[in-house]
Amino acid sequence: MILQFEKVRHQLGDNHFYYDFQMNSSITGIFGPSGAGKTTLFNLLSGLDTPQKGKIRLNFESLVDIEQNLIKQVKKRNIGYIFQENHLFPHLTVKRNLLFSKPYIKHKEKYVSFNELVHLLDIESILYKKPRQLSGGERQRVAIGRALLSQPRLLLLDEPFSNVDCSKRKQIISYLLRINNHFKVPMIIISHHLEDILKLTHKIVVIENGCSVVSGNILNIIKNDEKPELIRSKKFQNTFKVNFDSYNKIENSYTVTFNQDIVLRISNHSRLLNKFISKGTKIQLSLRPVDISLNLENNVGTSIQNQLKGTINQIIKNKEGVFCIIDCGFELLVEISQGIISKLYLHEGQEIYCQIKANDIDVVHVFDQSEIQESKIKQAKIPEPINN
Amino acid sequence: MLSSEEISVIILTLKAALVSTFITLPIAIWLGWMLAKKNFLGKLIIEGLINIPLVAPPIVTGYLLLIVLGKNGIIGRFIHELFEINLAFNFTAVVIASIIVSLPLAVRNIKSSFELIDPNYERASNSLGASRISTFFRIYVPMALPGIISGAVLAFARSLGEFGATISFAGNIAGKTQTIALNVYSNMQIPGKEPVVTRLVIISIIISLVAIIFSEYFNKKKNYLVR
Repeated sequence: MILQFEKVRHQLGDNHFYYDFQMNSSITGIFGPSGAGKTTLFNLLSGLDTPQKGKIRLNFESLVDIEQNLIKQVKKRNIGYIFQENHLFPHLTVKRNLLFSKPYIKHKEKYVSFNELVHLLDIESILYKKPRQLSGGERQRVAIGRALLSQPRLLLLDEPFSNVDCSKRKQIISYLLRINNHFKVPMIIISHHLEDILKLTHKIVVIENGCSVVSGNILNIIKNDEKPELIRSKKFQNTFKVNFDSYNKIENSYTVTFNQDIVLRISNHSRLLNKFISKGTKIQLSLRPVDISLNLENNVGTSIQNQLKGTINQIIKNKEGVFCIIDCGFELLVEISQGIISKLYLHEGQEIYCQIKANDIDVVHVFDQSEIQESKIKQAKIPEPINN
Repeated sequence: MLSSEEISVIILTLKAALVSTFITLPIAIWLGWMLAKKNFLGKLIIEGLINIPLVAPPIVTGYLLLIVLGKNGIIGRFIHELFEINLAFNFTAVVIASIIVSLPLAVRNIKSSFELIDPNYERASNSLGASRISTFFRIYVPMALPGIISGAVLAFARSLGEFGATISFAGNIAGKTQTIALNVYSNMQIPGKEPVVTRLVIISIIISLVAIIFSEYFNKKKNYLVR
């Protein structure tokens, strides 16, 4: 999906907005503080609001071109919008909410089927309940399902994690990856929780004071020092995809591989993993920079199970701290203390070992192999690797 | 037991109230929605005009109806000349008087119901492909349904008790325009008719009480549905 906002200007009362960026990603994150203008961006993209100036294009098709007096109608844009408060229709059951768009999609190409979706989102048991009888997580899943059944070519999710607790957030992230992988529907996700966005994608647009200030891969943004505060160690998540290899009964841990030659061990604390997962299944993992330590040598006498050999690509010092970008086959952001650089004589290009406890690796999602094989999308949109 | 004359008065009253409610309801739904959700020039004036019968003495409303819709009225004259239809002093006049006095009650109730509905439901509906008309019938009307029912019941109850506008615009013609209220008024002035008055008063109270209980029940459901 290629999304272009070209010098888009909009005014709401005394608030001025300006968006100018281009994104090309299967999942894009929109990050910024509350009130920065993230939802306004969605309203302009979906057609609920019209800007005063500029152009908006989706896959090179003009949705808005003020100079040419072109403003595409909401229903002709074919964009699914999941509002922050869900806005499930309270007088309808879950099933009737899901099927709300049915009369309006007669002439559309259908790539999401009702039964398939209900199964993927695990909402079979709540189909005949009313929205007020659902939990926050269930409501979010139904809202996602309702938008998807309108067969959109793009899905907008406004703060999908705002009304759910931490454990449900993880669940929703997993469902979103499942949906994205299965239906190949591109998504744009708004959140002011950077850690949640980064578990889904590293392609982000940062919105501040009503303006798009920077966009692209977060590691590139950090490398170029375009937005130093994005590096906050506790908010940052290294995310990477690996392949399931085996279950080690004695150590009660799982072995996964990256590019076949890099082996990682993950502890058995994630409910997403089990010993019945078939070898080769794709798994998305995340890891905080603060949970990685550096060692000059491969230390065999340690309880830390993962030691990845890598090269220091860049050392970044800013007011948020000291960070290294290490290339271990995939790039990892590592936080270190100020004194370590001089103590270990760290420099760019140096070979180093990244030590990671098996317990610190978080399993974000396990991609079902059938999901990968049974992709039924007719629009050829292949998600890009997260760390590109 | 009720006499045949009393039964025919009750039937005429219920018939007039039902017909006027059925005519009032779609108008009140449309006006309630417009006033709650749309901003347009002259909104306050229209709202004021609708609400006049609420505050003006009913007899004044009846007199105005006579001036406008009577046989020699501003509009009534043309209707009479073009279609040979007389709108005053017949059953149609009873219905028209009921509509005019019950409309503000229905509109106020229905409008407050529409106001409670978060406009983002409309946005959600539009984003799913629904047109404005479709959104009105699939989202607004069902979500405002308790308020609509409550408004309809109130309009019905108001029609049952209508007196001032009816007597001045439709007259007090037995078997033709005489409703329960008018019959009670006539019989109160005739000595020995107290039992008839008592029976009709009791029936009026029962019908009104049931209507109000019904209306309150649906009024309480307003918030419950829009959550």
